[in-house]
Amino acid sequence: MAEPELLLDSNIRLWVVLPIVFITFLVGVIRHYVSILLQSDKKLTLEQVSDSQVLIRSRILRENGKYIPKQSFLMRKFYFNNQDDGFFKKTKRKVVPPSPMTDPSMLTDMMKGNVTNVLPMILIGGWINWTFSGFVTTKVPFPLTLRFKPMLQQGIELLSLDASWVSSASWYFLNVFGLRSMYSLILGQDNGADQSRIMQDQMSGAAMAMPADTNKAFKAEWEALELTDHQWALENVEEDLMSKDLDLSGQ
Amino acid sequence: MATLAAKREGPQFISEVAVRGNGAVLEYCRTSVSALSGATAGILGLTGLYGFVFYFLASFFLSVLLILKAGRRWNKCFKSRRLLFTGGLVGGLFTYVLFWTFLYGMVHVY
Repeated sequence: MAEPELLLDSNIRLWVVLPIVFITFLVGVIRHYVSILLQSDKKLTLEQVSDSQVLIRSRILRENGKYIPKQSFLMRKFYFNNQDDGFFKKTKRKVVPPSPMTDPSMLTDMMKGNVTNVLPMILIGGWINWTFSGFVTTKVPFPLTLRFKPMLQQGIELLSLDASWVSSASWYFLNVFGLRSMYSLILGQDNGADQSRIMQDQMSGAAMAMPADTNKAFKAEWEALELTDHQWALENVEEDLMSKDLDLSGQ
Repeated sequence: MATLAAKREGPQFISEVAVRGNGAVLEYCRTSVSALSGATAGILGLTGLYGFVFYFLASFFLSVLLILKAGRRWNKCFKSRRLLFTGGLVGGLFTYVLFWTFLYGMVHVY
């Protein structure tokens, strides 16, 4: 524990370090509430809801078919997949697939997401860098290599200063990253202030493209259901029960 | 009679809501421990490698406590034991560094 080499003015502590912490935190909270206010209503039609429920039902049938008797399974499969009047064969929905460029609601959602999350961070980072520039803010407790110097000591022109003494902009970014998990403590899950979650959602949302074309979804589900076979999970249940030592005393 | 292996499949019926709730509780614990241990490290004045080692020690201690609390029925609550050890480690690291820097600055630099 070496003695720190520099002595910093206490006013810096009072008027720079603490305000940056408060600003970061409050901006995050405000962002959360703004995102709640700006959430556009998602209008769902009855047909969409019933379609998604049918898909869920078919998926459940595929996954858990082995727990019902063979006759029941075949009956349900027949309802969905019959050649002439099975549900997946018969229903054709007239659907215009909403691509991200043409559907206005999705476009505004994306824009709102970008605006509320990235823009404030850049703006405030820039403002803090401009306001609190030219002096050392704090010292990070671990040694950093010299490569980090230009990045972390934006306004300070000392060549021989240890890279651990950082400027206010880097303190701001440290705050942004560190307070991310604090937001879930305070605002509960699924809060609008957590940027990393938003970015993860954006990345995974592109991967699991919504089945905008319900016809395609139906077709895929039909194929999957055709392929599933009925494996009767209770087939050997008598053998299993007989072979184990049954404790019938009850608990 | 041929020997029949009991076809015991793993726990098939998993409630998504419960899994997510458990994960949220874990993350809450992890964040709290990171914040407190960061504050402690800052006040103690740990620097450099000692600080990081302290974080991993604290996380490990948290995992041990969680396993003690989960007891033998852990697989009723969690899919794998590794999740108790490593869940939210990196997010906690950021929080730890933030609190560590903050209190180190408060106490030792000023």
